[in-house]
Amino acid sequence: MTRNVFIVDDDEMFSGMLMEYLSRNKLLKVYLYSTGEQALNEISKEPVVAILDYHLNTNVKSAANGLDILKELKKNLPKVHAIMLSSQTKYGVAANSILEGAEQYVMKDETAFEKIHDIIVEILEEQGLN
Amino acid sequence: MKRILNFLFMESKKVKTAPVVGNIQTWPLEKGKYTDLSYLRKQTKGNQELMKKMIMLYLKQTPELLNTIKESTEEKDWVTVNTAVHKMIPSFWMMGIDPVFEKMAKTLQEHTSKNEFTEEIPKLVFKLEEGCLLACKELEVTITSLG
Repeated sequence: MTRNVFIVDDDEMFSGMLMEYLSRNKLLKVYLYSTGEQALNEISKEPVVAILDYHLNTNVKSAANGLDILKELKKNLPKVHAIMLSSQTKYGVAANSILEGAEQYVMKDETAFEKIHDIIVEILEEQGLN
Repeated sequence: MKRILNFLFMESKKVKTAPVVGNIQTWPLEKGKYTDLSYLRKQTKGNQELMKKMIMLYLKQTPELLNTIKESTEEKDWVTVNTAVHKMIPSFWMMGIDPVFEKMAKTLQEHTSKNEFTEEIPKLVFKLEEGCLLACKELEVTITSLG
């Protein structure tokens, strides 16, 4: 049985490569959304993990940011595991994400794809879902 | 004496040092070598179609982001500059662009996150644009050699 994973990021390059990378794991069914609002509309898919970028309003100025989407997602799906992405090394950004319910904060660097995959595998193992 | 000074002046003009923006020395790259697709090749497992797709995304996304950065810099809209730079950062390592440009982008991010103008900002924007456009030119050629 496959497990649903949401990627919410308006960076087509990064999210496209991440989707490709995660989709190699046959246990995962990966869905890609460029805004958090789109992801919230598909919440009935009950993702086990949601990967959210901190900035989600580069292309759609009115789009909510990653932190607001994280709050909404957690409100509607309290069991969802959230991974926040950012290129910012600022402690405050990471701390805010964790405070709002993100389990992990991953920097968008060369090791991000592997790190995210490892985190997801760990989550599935902990829950006996793999 | 005048001849010696003239000679020294002419010699000093021959020395090509990379311009410095902030604390970052720019142009460490060999001429005509602005990108390195090793990382992309590894991540795509050599899938040329996927590599082409990613390069095309870079070629589409980069000029758009650069325009946003330039326009927002003129308007002193630092939040938008910051967001656009944030989106640009992963493309540097994905396309194997020299890390000096990623460092420049991160410096720009730091400056703009303070939400106030510094003299470094336009210089960094200019250098970033120059580097990215050269990378784009090179990738336009590279893409034709991919299957």
